[in-house]
Amino acid sequence: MSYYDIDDILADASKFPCRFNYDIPGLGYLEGNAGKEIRKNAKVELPLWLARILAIVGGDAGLNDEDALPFVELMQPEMFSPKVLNAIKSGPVTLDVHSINSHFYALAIKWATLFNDRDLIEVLNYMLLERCQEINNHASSVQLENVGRGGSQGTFMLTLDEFEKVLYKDSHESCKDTKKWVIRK
Amino acid sequence: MNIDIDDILADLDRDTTAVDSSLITQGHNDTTVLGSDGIPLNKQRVVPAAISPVSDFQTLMRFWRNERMSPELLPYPHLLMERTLRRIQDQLEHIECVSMGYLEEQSGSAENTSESVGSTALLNKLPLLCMEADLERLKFVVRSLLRCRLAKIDKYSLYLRQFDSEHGVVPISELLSRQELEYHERHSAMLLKLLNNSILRHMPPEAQAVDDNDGSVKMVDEPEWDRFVFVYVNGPDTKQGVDPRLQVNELGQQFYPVSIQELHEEAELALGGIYVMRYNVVRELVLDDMVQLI
Repeated sequence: MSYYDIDDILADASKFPCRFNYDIPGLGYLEGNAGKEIRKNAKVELPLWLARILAIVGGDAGLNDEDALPFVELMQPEMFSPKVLNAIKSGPVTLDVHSINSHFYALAIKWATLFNDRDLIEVLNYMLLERCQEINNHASSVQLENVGRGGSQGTFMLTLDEFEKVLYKDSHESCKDTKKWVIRK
Repeated sequence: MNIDIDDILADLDRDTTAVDSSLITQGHNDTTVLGSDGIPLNKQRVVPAAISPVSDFQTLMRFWRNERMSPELLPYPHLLMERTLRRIQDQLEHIECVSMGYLEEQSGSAENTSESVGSTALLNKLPLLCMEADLERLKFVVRSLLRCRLAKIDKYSLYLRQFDSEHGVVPISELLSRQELEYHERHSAMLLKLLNNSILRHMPPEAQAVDDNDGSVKMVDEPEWDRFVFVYVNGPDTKQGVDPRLQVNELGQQFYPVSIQELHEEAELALGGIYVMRYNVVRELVLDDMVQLI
């Protein structure tokens, strides 16, 4: 996760639901009506790179009594709702992570660091380990005739998120190269 | 009654091996590796940490593997590379001389019998082929090593720039060779110029820095200190005696104790074992050559 990491930038751009804690004039364009003020308790979808900062930085301490309250409050997004977490616990391998969010792991890590969420991390660890076994199975079953076409890997491949795709591609490449080298020098 | 005479036998052995090794190195000087170091033989025996072409090549291979696998840029082995480069040069000239002599011999003896010429040519050819192939192998390792280092310099150029200031533990001239230093300076200057001209000058002044670490995302890439690496524990050099860090566990195995900071856990690296470890845990041992990355 570095500054020039494309996947990181893409992950940061995904929207999270937020609720404003203040009336702020001029910020109406976040809601879609430019030139107006934004109302307290308005619900807005903000990209994570903006929401993360606004959720930490507070309002003016001098003007307000409730200076500890940040500008916005991040609300529980759909992708970390109990429904999804239960689905992960019951069967990580059959879960369609890609349809939940294509950068699921990256966002989950960011979310968990933001809130110190131990439970989420535990669920993620379990999920990653379970899914890695499946990824390894798929990556190491190399048929040299099929390498060119790439298809016929089944529906599991369609459920991988971006991080898992990198994982799969790397291990698949190394398995393929080893096999090629063993077979004909 | 058993009298243990192992040490007496070892003493005898050492004498013979000393003679043997000097013979071998002399043989090397004559045939394959020309002018290994210009060090007279008696001096070589005084320094037991023998500087020989073979041991240098082994050190080079080990350094190459470490450099390929480690997340950080390792300090440049100035002396080793100096020796290796000089040997490549010497060997190149030697091969040229041998092949020239081979041509002369052929033309000179062509008047005699043609059959014997064919057989001597064949005899000469095999050593020549071996020398050339050997040189190619050595050159490949050196090239691959330097390329790998250049890729790391590209990646961490902003991080390396911080090393110039006083809080760097290692001075940058020790970390990089002279050529790498020049590459690093000119390459980062060119990159900075490109960024400045194309994008950064349209930005507000406070957003123009490329090494801003106070923003929401750090712009300076540090090496991934906690990346997992495979290590092989080879232990200290047998000649150097006992390493103070080495300990013995209840099974009689020698091991290095390392502690993993984040988990508050102790781990034992037994000699001859292969482990998957975080790099920052084994970094000291890697730099001291007690373990190697694989």
